[in-house]
Amino acid sequence: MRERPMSAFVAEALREADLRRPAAPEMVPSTLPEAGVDELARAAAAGSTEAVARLYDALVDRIYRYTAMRLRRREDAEDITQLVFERIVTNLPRYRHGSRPFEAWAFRIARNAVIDHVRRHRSHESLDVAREHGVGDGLDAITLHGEAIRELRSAITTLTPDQQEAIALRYAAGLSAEEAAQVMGRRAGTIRGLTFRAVASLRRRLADGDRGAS
Amino acid sequence: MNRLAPVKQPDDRVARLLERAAAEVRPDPLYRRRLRADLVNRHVALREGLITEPRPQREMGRLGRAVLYASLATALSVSAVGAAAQDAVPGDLLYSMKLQLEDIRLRIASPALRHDLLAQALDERLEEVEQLARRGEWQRAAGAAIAAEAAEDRLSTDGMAIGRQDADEMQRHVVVLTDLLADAPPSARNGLERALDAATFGPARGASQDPGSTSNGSHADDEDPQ
Repeated sequence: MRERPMSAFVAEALREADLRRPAAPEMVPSTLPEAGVDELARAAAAGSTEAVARLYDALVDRIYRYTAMRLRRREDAEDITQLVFERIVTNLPRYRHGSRPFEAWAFRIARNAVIDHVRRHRSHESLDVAREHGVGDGLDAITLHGEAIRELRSAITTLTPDQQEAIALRYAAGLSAEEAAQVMGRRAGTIRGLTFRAVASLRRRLADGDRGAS
Repeated sequence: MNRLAPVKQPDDRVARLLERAAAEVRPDPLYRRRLRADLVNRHVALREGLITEPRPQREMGRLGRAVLYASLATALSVSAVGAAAQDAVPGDLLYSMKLQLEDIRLRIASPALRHDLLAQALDERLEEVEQLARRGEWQRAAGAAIAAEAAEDRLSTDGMAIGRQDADEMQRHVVVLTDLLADAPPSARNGLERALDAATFGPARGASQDPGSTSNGSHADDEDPQ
């Protein structure tokens, strides 16, 4: 029979740790299959590992899309997505339920991380200058090489930083105007206006491109 | 609710393009899975008081990225079927494809990456045991535990210490399997104990140090200034 070098010891230690742990986390999993993001966040903050995993599943694609749209390079999107989730997990106990939807809280962390990243890697350039220098030539690597999408990406770089932020939060992150407003610290009406003007501007630019091509 | 269609402008070409561009951006499945495991492990470590300080930001090293891209190339070659196979467990139709993909990755990987891939394979087998046990499919879980033992043997005979991240991953499996063992019927205990033995590979052997950490400009205090 194979020796079991540490399992008995480790299992016993972990059982003891479980006995010391508050009961609340163990009460949560039975309700998780139908839980929304805010409920998952509450369970995760209470210590449920399953809730943490499900929270990740619920948010990872959207946070990755948001960081990819803002940073336009796969490596940056991966690094910042990882950083965002580490901060979320670390700060979960400090999240105050009821004061702000969890998604708005999480995307605020993502927005801060993106801004930090741009500052750290381009400390002598503002976001605007970085945009003019074509920060995101790598985005094609993570989208289809459709001509229309390439034109769209190019047109997005001509938007104001706030318009780009609003577009990323609403289309890539899938947030409502109200949620995006909480992330950006603006009013929902302002976000709707930014989005409307951004889409109108993109429409004009793409139409100009079509006329130029013909 | 379709989270990718927040702005209802069905006839708007720009809105459609924005939705399409967003929908096409997805994280690599292997990156996604490893980050998930890393976060769950981190959560357990924080909960148990094993770590207290925010971990310094660590950008992905060359090794990790090389593994990702090698696997991405393989995954792309089989497209959606290969991606679907990543979530298969023993007994599923796509499970054999999942194993074949792992073998292909091992064959095309450089020797420097081989040990990392073997550790990933053990991680995957243990994940399968846990999934099946959570569903109460004890017989299939027992079969998966045997596969986990075999994966441990392959990793063990490779002869190197596993990395810190993989050791942490094994520790997480020990936690999960111990919880499952507490609720398992007597007939299933032997299988779970075998999986638990396989998971103790990391702690028993000791982990190599991870030198890839850098400083962190965390905004922990700034995230929620309400």
